[in-house]
Amino acid sequence: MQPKLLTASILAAGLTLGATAQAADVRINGFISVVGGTTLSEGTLTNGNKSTFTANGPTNGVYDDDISFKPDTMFGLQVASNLGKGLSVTGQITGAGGEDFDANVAWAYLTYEFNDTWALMAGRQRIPFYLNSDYLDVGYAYHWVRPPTVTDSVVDDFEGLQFRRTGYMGDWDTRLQLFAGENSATTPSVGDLGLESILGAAYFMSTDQLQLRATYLTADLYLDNLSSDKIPDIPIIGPLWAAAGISQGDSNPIGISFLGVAARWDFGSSFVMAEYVKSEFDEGILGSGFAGTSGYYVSLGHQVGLFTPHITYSARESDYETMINGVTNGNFVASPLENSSITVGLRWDFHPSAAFKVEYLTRSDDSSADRLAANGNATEVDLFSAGIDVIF
Amino acid sequence: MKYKTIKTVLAASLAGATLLGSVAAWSGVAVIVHPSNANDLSATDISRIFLGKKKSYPDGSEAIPVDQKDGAAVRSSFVSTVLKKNDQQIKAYWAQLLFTGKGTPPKEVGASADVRQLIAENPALIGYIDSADADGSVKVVHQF
Repeated sequence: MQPKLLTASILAAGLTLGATAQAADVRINGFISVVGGTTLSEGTLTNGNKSTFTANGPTNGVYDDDISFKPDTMFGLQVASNLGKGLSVTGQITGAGGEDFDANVAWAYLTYEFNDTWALMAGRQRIPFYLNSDYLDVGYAYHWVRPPTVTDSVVDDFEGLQFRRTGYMGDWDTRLQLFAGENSATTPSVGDLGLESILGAAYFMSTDQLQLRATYLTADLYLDNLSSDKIPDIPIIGPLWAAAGISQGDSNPIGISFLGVAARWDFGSSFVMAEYVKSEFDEGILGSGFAGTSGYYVSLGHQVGLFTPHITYSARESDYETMINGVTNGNFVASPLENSSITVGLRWDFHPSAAFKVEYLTRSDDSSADRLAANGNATEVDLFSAGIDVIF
Repeated sequence: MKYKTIKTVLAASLAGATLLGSVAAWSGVAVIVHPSNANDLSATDISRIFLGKKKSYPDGSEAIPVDQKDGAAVRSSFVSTVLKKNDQQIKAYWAQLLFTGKGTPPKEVGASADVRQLIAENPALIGYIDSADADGSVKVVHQF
């Protein structure tokens, strides 16, 4: 394979293959999403507070009943350089409103293409949890203001290795991803947590009209802020756990598994897409008792000229465990937290590199009576949001 | 599907007309390569090369696709007919690949005459032009 960097220099100079290019071409691209929104109807928690809407878990993007431009507002700058002979480097700096736009190295990895089929990516990169994972931050790449929150993890990225195999099967393009690595993150919702021994595979196949995807991974999850030395400090139940010798620190992580399947069908100017995800934890997390979640969404859209009206139904169930190793946990209700939501929205491609989006989401808390009594209708909320996504 | 194509072409032609000051009377689209390129290319091969899924010709040599300027009628026609996407879909497609480090869109090199001239000089390139602009300096591998 000839170095691709030749391409750029040849085309730029309008010359022939005689030119030798030593300097790598560096490509800088970026994306910005500026989104504002507010909740319009809220549930009530048991402490009397109103429910909120978490738009972006990893960056603590949360809407309440005041108009805010932070939760979904996001920028990113990507620098990529093709060094030739199959080697390229990719770096991405992002900043999110939920984190006061602190610049953050989302990705930094190098790609080595052994041949047309196999490539290795090494460094910090996206975990391929979902159909939309790879471009989760790039609002322009999808029709929603944000993908359904059922496909929102507290951890997005990992540091490690990924082998990618691309190929063909008749009319189908295929892609297999095998990955291994780890990550640690401070998340507002769960605290400091880490994922170790991430090991997974994703398979994707597509034609002009159809996309199918499946992924499975396992990992060890540990809680840094609940390491054994801190547990006794937790009010009331902390001493109980400490006495029982319970820790979910990195010496005693929780095994987790994740499964996802997705499909998308584009027909004419319409599309339908659906995704199902399920995560399972070997034991509940100390404090909340959270032990896994499952959910799905189905989304339909139809393009009329520059406008794409769309509708999405999504449902989610989160499971909890009341006892850990025979000791009571902080969460005393065993029944799951259940909710479902309907989102209607419109995307308007008013500019070749920008789209305007407006969306209304209504979510109901479908949990059983004992959970509603314990938590209130904590996930019941209506949200209005609108914004502009730009790529450059 | 056909109706949509016609609509796309019409819209693109109108856009072209505004730019050129006259309704572009082009006869069709020809996919062209260097005359020395002996590969037999199917519509699927061409589509894969232009979508960044395939980086070489069937004989193993490097394939470099080149695009016409954004908004060109020939480009819209090529994208809808061969790539089976409309203008917004192709932009979203490249946004998805670009920001995942999986690929970069083909370079834009101007209009049919510019594409033809570049391809006549470089055996790796593949492009598409208004059929009326095809001549002996390039080889037509696909026409619609």
